[in-house]
Amino acid sequence: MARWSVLREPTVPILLAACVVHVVRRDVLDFAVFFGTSVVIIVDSRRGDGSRFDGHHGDRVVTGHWQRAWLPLIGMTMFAGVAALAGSASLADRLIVTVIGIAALVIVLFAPGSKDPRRAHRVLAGWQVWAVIGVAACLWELTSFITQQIWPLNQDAHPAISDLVGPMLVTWFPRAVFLLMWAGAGWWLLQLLLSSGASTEPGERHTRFGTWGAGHREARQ
Amino acid sequence: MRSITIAVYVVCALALMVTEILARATRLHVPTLAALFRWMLRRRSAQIGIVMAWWWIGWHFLGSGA
Repeated sequence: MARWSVLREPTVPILLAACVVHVVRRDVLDFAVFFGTSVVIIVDSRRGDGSRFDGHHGDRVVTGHWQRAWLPLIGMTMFAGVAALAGSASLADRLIVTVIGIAALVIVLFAPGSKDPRRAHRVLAGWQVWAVIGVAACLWELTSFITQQIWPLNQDAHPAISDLVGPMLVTWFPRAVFLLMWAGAGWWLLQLLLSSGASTEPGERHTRFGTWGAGHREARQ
Repeated sequence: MRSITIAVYVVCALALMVTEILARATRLHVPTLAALFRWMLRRRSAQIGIVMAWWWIGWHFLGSGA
């Protein structure tokens, strides 16, 4: 039963809830992506205990990457500038995003796990502040989506984020900016992912009962 | 009504920015966005889910032309 503990974590229930929205949207591909990710998470959890304490990553901390940030920044800017030349929803666009997605999936599936088993149970002080804002934004988006379903002739009055951002990505410059931000976010996530296996990160604060947070300020001082 | 809908999105975006500034500039018990994500990424399920969510945003706006 312990290996099904992944179902008690929030990720799979959130993904399955999103699947319901995609059913209503009648978007088969998005449903497949979200449902397939849930399946991948469950299958992956059966390989270990959900935290994968493999001990290989040790105390390695990725440092100095911000000092070398200009190299990936230049690379991503060039990528964004060239990739944005492709038309919206073109075959080239789909190929680029698909290849990046497969590479990201491979990286995350083979990312090193945490060495410290207590880490999975630590609590980050103040995370609720971010959660309240995030949930509020998601609920507002959901409200717009439901309103569009109820009054389809009045969609302009209740735009979803896609309705606002999508039309802006038709021309080259906004597409390049969006691509740069998307690639930058992916690069940032990758850095966090590869450093998340370290047992001690710069700025983490460990307490007796495992509270972990707000220590980043001490690290800067 | 459209302007109200957009205004709420803008308020949410501003709230995210203000939270990050408060986390960095004050001694309030609010983590930075990086600390929050590093904490969330401690679990395998979140690693896969968050990376998928990031990829899907790219697909939604670029690949499917939403």
